[in-house]
Amino acid sequence: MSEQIFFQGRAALEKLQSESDKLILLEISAPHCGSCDTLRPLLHQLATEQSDNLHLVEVDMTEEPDLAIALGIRSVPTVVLFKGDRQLEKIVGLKPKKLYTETVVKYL
Amino acid sequence: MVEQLVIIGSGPAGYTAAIYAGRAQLQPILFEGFEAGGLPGGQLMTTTEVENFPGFSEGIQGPKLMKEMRQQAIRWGAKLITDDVITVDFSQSPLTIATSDLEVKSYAAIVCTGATAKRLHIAGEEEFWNNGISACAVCDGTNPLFQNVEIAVVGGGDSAAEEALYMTKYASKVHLLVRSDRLRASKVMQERILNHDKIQVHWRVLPISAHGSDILQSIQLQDRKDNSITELKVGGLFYAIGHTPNTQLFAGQLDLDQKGYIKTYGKTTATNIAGVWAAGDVQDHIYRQAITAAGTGCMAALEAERWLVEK
Repeated sequence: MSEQIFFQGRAALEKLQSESDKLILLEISAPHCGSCDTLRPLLHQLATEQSDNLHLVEVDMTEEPDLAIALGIRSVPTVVLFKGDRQLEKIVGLKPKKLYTETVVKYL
Repeated sequence: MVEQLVIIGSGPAGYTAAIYAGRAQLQPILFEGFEAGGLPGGQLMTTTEVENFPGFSEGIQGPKLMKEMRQQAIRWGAKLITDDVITVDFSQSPLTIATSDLEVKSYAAIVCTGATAKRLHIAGEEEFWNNGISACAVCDGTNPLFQNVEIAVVGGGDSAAEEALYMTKYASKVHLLVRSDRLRASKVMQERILNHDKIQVHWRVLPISAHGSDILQSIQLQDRKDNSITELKVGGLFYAIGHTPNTQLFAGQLDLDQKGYIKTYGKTTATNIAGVWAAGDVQDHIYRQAITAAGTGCMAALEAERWLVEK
């Protein structure tokens, strides 16, 4: 796999799901979403620290409405943790900082 | 090491206090918050156009205004920490302010933790919270699942009017649920609401429960005149019913008024504890404007600076 840590869009997500055995952290965001902007640096930091184990993919739900509907997204930010196609966890809304790290660490 | 000044909160009050304190070379530490009590940047982070902040004749987007204030605070030497303060000890000097993994001692503190949007706590609210029910239309309104469905906004003030108008861009119809028989919104907003062909205003109604399977599909409304109950089929319910001050952290230490706002004394921002000031919406339930929050943030920084010099 490439050394790239951050990805964007549905195509990148699907490629990683079929090709990578690392965990995939998906951030669903939207324009005008302040909480998404607050969360993003934290997820970037987490993905950088865990770059051996984790890919971070960002998807704007307004650009990928079908994916947002398929995943049942009603509020942003929503963070979904995948291993391949399998959904392991879903964190809806902005939650305490530690929860994001703890959720990922649980599956390492 | 003991800091000169800690600022808790990051709306217009917090950033303005940081700008003034930074320029006074107090090297303030500013806790921006993370998820408690709303977003870093405060309530303006969840608004669209701010039309009444002086200096922006064409209006400015709320998040953009806050980004500018934040940059200005950084430029003048404020140190920003993006995390929630979870405990404070104001009972002795130096004061103690702590997050889950950092403790700071400081001679002075300015509290600008603002206020959080209220919820109705109706039946079914927990089940559908962030799953159809939200306190931020501007954040969640773009969701594809709200496109071309009917939605409801509860409230009668300017924020309710703004959210209702915003949602007309996405929803097929917007029901504005007013619990009294009048709108508190400004005249300009009232006219926009009452003349909008996609907005239907319901007077004297109270949402009492939320229903659906997996996602929100309908709510029950109680008519406050005759107590009759009707069903309204909506895919979204947005609250804009006022705010609660974020003062839980300070209860038992700072004097609060009956509504939970921090009491300040005389024409100052001083609290009952020497070395602690309060600015912005956390101590103001009357004006609640970005400009008054910024004004009191400036006052608090000047008062803290003078106090630190005399000390």
